Amino acid sequence: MVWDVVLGSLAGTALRIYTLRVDYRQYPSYPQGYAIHLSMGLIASFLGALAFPALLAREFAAASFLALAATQFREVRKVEREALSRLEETELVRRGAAYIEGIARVFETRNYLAMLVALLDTVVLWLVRPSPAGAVLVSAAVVMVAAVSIGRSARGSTVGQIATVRPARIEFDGPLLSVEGAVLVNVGRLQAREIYLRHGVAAMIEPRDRAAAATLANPGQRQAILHDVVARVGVRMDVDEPEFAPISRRHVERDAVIVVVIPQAGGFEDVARAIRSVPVLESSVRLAGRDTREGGAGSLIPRHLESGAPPAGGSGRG
Amino acid sequence: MGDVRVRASEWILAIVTTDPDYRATGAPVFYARDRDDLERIVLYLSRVTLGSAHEIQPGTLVIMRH
Repeated sequence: MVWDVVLGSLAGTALRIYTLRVDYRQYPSYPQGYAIHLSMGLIASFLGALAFPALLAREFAAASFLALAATQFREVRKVEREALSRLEETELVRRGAAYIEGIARVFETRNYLAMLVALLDTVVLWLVRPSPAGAVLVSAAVVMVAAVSIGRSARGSTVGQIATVRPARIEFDGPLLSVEGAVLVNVGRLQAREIYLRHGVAAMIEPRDRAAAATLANPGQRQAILHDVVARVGVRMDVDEPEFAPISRRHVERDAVIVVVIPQAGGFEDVARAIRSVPVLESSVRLAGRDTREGGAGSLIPRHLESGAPPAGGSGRG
Repeated sequence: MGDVRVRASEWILAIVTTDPDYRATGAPVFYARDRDDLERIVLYLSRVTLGSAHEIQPGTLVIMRH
């Protein structure tokens, strides 16, 4: 039993290490960051591994410690959120509250996953009752299956999956910077306009359906796009040059989103690649529900509202 | 979010113009001799105030903090 708990804890920790490696956000990238998350992962796994043996031994109080763990991990989310929010002041282009919330939630979730895998492993070990060497193999298999299924399902979609990105032209109508008829911003200085015309890159992000359009219209999602683009290609600005800050505005007529940035290095293709790989934030995502799919044309309006007929019971929301 | 600037004068830090008859209240007005002078004043002001410049009519720019 003791070895089941040890193996379960190791299995959970192994998964936490795997999910730490998967992260592409250059964070955490310092040993301190790794140490914090690995030790939290170890504690989570240990709690998860304890739960099932505790139940078998009719130690219900011990099993209820899982509830305590949940409180602990909400704390993880809080710590991540606070740390990233405080760092916003030091960013040239902010992540935005929506992005930070998404990142914080990912960190919390990963601890739960470590805990679940540890629990699962102890259950499997109890069911299979393998030899000591077999137990190690079984645990490794559990971790591998979990890692693969997380890799497949838990990654979420990216902007590239819900929209296409194509180059567009920056034009000036007097001081107004516009792209294909949509006004983005008023640039006062002639020299600044020159810099936009010479070095600026405009990208037209065209959603694949109406649900995707609603997702992209979300300001939190667009701030995340700007942050990630700048993280990849840089931006030719400093803190005292807000006029060169990257901008995103909706092209309301076409239900698309325009991004204009002055990259430090690279051209449109680099910007486009960065945009495509931005994660779709959970807080901004709009999914095509049953109503919208049946309603043809990917409409976001429930059918009874479109046709003007009263709802036939229920909210009509998909 | 925690921004409590409600009056235009808290957003508009300065007005720079080449129009000697331009009158405004609430924000300091800087009079420039010509467009070159205007560009120079606007550049200097926007750098020290961390504001950005927007043209509200030909020859008149406001420096705003967003």
